[in-house]
Amino acid sequence: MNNYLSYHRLKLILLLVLTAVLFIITSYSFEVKPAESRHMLDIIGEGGMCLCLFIWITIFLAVRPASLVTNLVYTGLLLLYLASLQDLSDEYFFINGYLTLTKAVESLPMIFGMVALTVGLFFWHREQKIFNSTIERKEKLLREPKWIDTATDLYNTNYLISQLNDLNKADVNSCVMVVDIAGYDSICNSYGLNKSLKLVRDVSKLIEIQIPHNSLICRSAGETILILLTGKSTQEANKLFGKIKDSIRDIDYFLNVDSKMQINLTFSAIDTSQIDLSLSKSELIKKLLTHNTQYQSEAV
Amino acid sequence: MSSYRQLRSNLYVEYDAPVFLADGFFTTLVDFSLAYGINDNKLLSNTAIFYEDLKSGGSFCSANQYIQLIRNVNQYLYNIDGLELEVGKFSVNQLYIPLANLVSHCQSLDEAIGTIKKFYLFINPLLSLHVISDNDFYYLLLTERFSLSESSKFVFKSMLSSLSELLSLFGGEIIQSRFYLSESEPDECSNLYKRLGMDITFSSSFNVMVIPRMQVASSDKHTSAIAYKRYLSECEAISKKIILPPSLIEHIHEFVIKNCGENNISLEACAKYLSLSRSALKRKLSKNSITYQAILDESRSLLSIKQLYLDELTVDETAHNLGFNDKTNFRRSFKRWTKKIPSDFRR
Repeated sequence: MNNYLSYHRLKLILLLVLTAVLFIITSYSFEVKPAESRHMLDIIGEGGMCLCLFIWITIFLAVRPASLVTNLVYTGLLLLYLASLQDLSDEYFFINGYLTLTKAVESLPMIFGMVALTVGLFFWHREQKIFNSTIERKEKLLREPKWIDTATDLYNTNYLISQLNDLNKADVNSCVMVVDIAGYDSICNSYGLNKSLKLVRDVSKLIEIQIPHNSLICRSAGETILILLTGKSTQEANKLFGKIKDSIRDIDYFLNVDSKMQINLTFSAIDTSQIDLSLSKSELIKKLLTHNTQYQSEAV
Repeated sequence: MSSYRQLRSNLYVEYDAPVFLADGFFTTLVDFSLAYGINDNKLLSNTAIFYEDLKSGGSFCSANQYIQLIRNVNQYLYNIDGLELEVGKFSVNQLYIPLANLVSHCQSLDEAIGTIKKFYLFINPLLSLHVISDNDFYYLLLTERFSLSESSKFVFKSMLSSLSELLSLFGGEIIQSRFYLSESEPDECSNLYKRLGMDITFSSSFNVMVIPRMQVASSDKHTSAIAYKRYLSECEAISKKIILPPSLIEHIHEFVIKNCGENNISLEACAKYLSLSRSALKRKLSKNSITYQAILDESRSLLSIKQLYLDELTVDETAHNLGFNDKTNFRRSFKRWTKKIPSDFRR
């Protein structure tokens, strides 16, 4: 779990300063009660509440990043803490005169604190609902981890092969496009793996919006993206790739704030009828990648 | 007495001696693992290494720390396919030691392989690289310098990926090589095919990269002799600064290879060779999580395969050279070592 306490230094300082100020004002203004006049049950009850609120505030700040919810709940808890602290102080001091300020400090923060806490909890609930919807989307992916490439959240080659088998049973003519990002290795060397994986994800998104909805896009290894185009021939795939390549080449892709690049893609396509599905999974992948390598060297 | 002890301890690298630069493979592994979203505290837990030290550079670590880091990666990133291959490939360019530049300026494949052999410990100090060659091929054989146990697959594959990348820097493109891997065929091979090439044999006795001779015509290479000399002197200067003596396992391999013909390879003889007592040697091996018998078997199987395949000796001659009186005993031992029969290795 992340510790966010260092991000809330001011809030912690405010908590300690207000505690100290309240104690100093009370001890200067009122006479201290002798030990025999104190009620131990009240001290334990009110003191325990004060201590709990202090611990709540500290733990809450430690686990929450700065946000509207954090500010509201902190304000609510702080006001409740101050009210209970003032309530506790009459167990140690004779607060007979009832200064207006003292009375106000004991009564008003309680209600304002409760209001702030209620609003904070409402926003917290809304925040949680948004998180839940995101998790639900991710959960769909996590249900079948063997089909997902963890680095990019795209499907992996295992899923492609299972789909190829299904298509073969349904006797649908299709083709597999093998797309590579030119110069990926040097990008990885210059910008690191994080940026390179982001590039693969972004390129796959750009491809995804330009291919028919019944297509499947997945990552094989490194920068190699495999696309299963259902019901398309290799000629159609060639045309489609030409369009995709041109559209992506025209984009200024920013890897850093100040360094933009053009993305060049290389491509090969193989008709699924040419793929012998009786081969083992590794042989199938080998065939697809070998076909791509041969196609690229012929193109050169 | 103390100087004698010091002399003896300097004969080999201890498992927990921090003498390896935490650079190249180590830092790339940390970098890549962090890129896959692992927390740096988890990644470096039990390694006694701090992320800040790695960022400032120049830190040293022991084989033990290397292995613990790989264990952590295997534990937290077990579902990332091909991480070791990516790390192996990209660590070559992220070495601050100019080995990649030096190899790219070599004039012949022979020179490139010789250079790699000379400085291979800069790439990954956990493995030994043995270069054997015949008229047609170079055989780059990898063996463990320290007992790697469950981390061995990770380390072997990453080293093979580094070697492949280094040689592609020399040749200008991927040199078509054949790979023999000791691991069984994994479920997902895409990354292996992508990084090492299509010619991979699994469940092999050893981890070997086989490179055909004359892959790169020397006339096609445009290299700079000045650059080569400069990078060579830089590598040599670094090599002098970093003490990289052989490991205990390497010493035992050497002892077995020297003495197995005379059948004088008992634990006592080995302890005497290393100027250690029998119990001290056993204690050191147990600290390395390895037994003397395991090292003995590996050395003898390696030697027998070399003699059968490369030197083209008969089974009788090989058995005799390895100190076996009986051919049947040799066959039985050979099958135990390699899961194959000697004739499988005859050309």
